[in-house]
Amino acid sequence: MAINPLIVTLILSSTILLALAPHIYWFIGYGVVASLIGASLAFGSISVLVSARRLYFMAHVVPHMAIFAAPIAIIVTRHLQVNEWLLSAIIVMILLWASGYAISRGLSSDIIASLSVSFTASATIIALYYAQRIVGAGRISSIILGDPLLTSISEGLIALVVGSMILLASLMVVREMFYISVDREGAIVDGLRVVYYDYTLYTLIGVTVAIMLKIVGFLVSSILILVPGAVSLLLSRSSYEALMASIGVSLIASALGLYAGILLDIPPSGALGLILVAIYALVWVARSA
Amino acid sequence: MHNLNNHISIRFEDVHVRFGDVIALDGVSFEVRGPGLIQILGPNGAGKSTLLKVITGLVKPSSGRVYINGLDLAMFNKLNDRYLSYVPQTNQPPRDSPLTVWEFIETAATIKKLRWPRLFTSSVKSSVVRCLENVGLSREEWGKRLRDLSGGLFQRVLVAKALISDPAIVLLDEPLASVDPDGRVSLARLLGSIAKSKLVIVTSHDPNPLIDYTNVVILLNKRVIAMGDPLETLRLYSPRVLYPEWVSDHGH
Repeated sequence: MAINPLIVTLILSSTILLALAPHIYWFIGYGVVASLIGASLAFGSISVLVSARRLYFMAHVVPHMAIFAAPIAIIVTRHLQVNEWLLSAIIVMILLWASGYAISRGLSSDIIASLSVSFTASATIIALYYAQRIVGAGRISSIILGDPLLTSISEGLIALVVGSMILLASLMVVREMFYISVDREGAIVDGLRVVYYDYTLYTLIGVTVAIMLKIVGFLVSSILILVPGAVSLLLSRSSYEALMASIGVSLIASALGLYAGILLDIPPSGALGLILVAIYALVWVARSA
Repeated sequence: MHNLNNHISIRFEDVHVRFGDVIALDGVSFEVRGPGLIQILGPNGAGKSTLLKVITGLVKPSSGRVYINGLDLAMFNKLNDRYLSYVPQTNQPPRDSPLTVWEFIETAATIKKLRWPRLFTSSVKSSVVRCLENVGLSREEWGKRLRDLSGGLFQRVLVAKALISDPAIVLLDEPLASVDPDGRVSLARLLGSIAKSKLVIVTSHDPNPLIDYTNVVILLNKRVIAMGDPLETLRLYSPRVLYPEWVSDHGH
């Protein structure tokens, strides 16, 4: 597995940049750094898988599912002793698996996206109304807007562990995902259990978005699903290189987003999203020139 | 695993396929033996692709039986994994894939030969080299990305993928459709050489590029219209099957 040294440099330098933040700014804790690294590992990994399988509609659908699941989880955990993040991830996965099943039965992705967004958007308004009564407007705002600066050390560690697990799982399936995208029917005839890969991907996407929603927010999670993978496909010459490039792009955007957020006094997740769009535009222009 | 290469047969017995109200195959029966090259010819909607997909197991017949070397495909669902490879109709290389020719073929080899998670691929390298050399791809082309290949080179890569597991049967759906004339000649020659040791079944609209290498032609229009020696069968039947609208317009 030969990886471009530029990509390795990008990953290392952005990780160092993130790790230095608590030394520069007293109000930045290691939980913030861990959460941003974890979110970058997770979103960088799933972004390239989404691009490989051309499931771009998921980028619009999954955040809606996650923002529906988050207040439901808040309401349920008030009455039952279950982990809020786990419950949220399970709800998103069930919705995603149902969508995947509908695709396998021949329903078009456009119809699934329309139905799914219509249902979750409407139900989310009701769920948010009740959840806000329980946890207050600040918590609800962090789900929608995302605020890595509010992440505790334990939440940061959970994000880091989940991000590492998503990366590990992605490493094990990324080649096959690209292979399936070239020739799905041929892959089935070759003996690849393509349906397992489909549901693995839905699971990875569901877990990532549900767990990382509080860190990056509903609004930016679409960009994080789409852009790192799209940039990496412009730069890479192998599936592993694409995976690493996607993580590198997510990390540098997180690092620059954090510093830009502090220096310009704007929400870091918003800065992160804008930086990702700028990176894509720059790479695209450079490749086209 | 049986070595099928010296004695290969596929037999269809009254195979029907329906997709809702649409009849794709309507009582198809034939038997072909290999090694050799079989061309399945017919107009659009004749059921050519469906017929190949029935052999692969991608499409289940509504009724009827398919046998590979006497073994019922419905009873042995692993038969297609072991004995055949399939190249579906593909017009263009994937637009945004980062996979190189090497990684694509290496992945195909690992899928066939290694267990998941398939992270260590060194054991398949020699077979990948041999396969790429056999289909006439130069070492310079091995490092190219699939998206940077011409239609002809991409088809050659798909043929390499089909051969990596040394299957007894190779099925190709319209392999020459999007290939330029020069590429078509060399790809036809390659398929002809593969057919010396394997049963190669190719669907096509145009019999001419492969005619010199073809052992049997099957004219299909939801059912088998004619089958036999290529030149004789085409001389007697092909206008009626391949160009039915033209024939009816001209009263033949």
